Amino acid sequence: MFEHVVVGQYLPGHSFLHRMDARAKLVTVFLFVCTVFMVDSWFAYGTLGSTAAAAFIISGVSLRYMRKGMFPVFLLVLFTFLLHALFTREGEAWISVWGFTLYSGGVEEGLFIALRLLMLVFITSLLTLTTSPIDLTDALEQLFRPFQRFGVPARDIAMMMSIAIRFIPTLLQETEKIVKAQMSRGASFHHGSLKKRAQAFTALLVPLFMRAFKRAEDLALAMEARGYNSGAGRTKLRQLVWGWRDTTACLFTAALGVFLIVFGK
Amino acid sequence: MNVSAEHLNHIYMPKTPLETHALRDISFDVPDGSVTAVIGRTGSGKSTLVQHLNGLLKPTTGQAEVGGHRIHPKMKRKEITALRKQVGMVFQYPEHQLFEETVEKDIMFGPLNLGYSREEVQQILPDLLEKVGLDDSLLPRSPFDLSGGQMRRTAIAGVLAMKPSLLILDEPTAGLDPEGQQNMMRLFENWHQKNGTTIIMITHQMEEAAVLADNVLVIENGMICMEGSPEEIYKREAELRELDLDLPERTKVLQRIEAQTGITFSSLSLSPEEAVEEMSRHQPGRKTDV
Repeated sequence: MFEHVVVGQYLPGHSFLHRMDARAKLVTVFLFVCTVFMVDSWFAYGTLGSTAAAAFIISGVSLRYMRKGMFPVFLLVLFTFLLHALFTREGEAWISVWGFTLYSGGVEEGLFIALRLLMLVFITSLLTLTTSPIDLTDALEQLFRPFQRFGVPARDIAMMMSIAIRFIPTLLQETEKIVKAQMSRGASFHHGSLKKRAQAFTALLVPLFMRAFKRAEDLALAMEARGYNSGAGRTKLRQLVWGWRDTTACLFTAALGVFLIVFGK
Repeated sequence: MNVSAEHLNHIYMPKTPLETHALRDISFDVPDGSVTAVIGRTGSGKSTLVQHLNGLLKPTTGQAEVGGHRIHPKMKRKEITALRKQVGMVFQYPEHQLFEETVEKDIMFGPLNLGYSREEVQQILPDLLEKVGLDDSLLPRSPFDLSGGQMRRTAIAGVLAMKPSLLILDEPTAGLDPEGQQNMMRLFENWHQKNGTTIIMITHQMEEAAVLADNVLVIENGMICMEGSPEEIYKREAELRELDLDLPERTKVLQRIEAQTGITFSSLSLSPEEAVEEMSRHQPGRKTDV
């Protein structure tokens, strides 16, 4: 029933991207995103776009999978494009329909913004598709560790994130089960009057929340029973290892960013 | 209600890396008014199979038939709604589906959705409560204040209130203590005898299958690998072992007695009382106590 949910889904593999250190991937994505926001020329966008495409080819993720995951975002991108294209009054006027005038500057800006959004979603999807959620939280924890001095609870944040990620599939399963149970009791989620549908959603949400709270309580109890203490430094079963791939990728992205910001005008 | 399937196949997430062929070419026939136990390991496809009979899943290819309703890959919403009026489904841990403010409202949720009037449901309510073993003083209480056993009974009452002609039970005794399990099975047995409801029941426990079922379907890897009366199935002990399925306790005891005394019982799922009866017939004069 929730087969189409791709957000945050990890596809195991052995590509260059899969074997990179999660920290390096986070840094690379961060640098890439910064660059995307700081440049605004066709040349720069072309270069960044082809870099993203190259990374995608290296990752070995199937195009169908990526397309399915990106589809909901396309609507948002389309909407932003139209908004910018219709309401920016720069450059020469092209056509005028129903009081809206299409300016060349507006279309250009719309395209830029759309490309920006697409690239952001594309590169972050690539990150989550090639990195297991646990590696990702470990990496975040380590990257945030220097900020602990300023009161950022890096460990707690990482623990909360990994618990949240861990329970996404569980909650989806639970939802599916309850939806099915209520559907077989005649509840209709997709059809019928608004009142009936609202009632069906109550029949889903109440049990779902009850179960989620119950689970949270159980988990808290189990953690306490085993002496969980957020201040204690925990060791990891799987250590993150920084290798040549990671240095290369970070340096490459940084160099690309600097080059495009300086010369890409 | 007759239930049958013909070459039913179900594939989860077709054409993705996570594609799973959950049911392979399933065909079976369940006569009206019978009780069928579906047995198999976790992940063998039992739940997937029974969810087709309620229109919760559509077959990828093939079809099933429940009463006059045909379940096929291109089923329409109207057909599914009509089918669900006939088929009641008790999921695993049914108490997880409770949500209303009071027990009464929760029991009424299903029947009202199906178009019964409030008065109609209220009329059958006392009888229903008695059958599932709930006191009517519980009706105005919140279902979340009840004990685990009472919650499950409430949830089951909510399904039975829809007066299904086919009742599907997905491990109805999971998580109950032995006494609770027996009570639960007795509840369904009585319901079956009074109303003649056709029952299809998923179970892990051979014991339950032995007591209640007329037919047993053993599923492994999405295929039906054994089919027949409990008697016939229990004779194929070696095959059952291979599937990690154990014989019911009573069958094991009877087999042991057969081996040691040379008596042949008429059936290997006799109740203790019946077994004593047969044994004393074999050895007149020696009356054994249970």
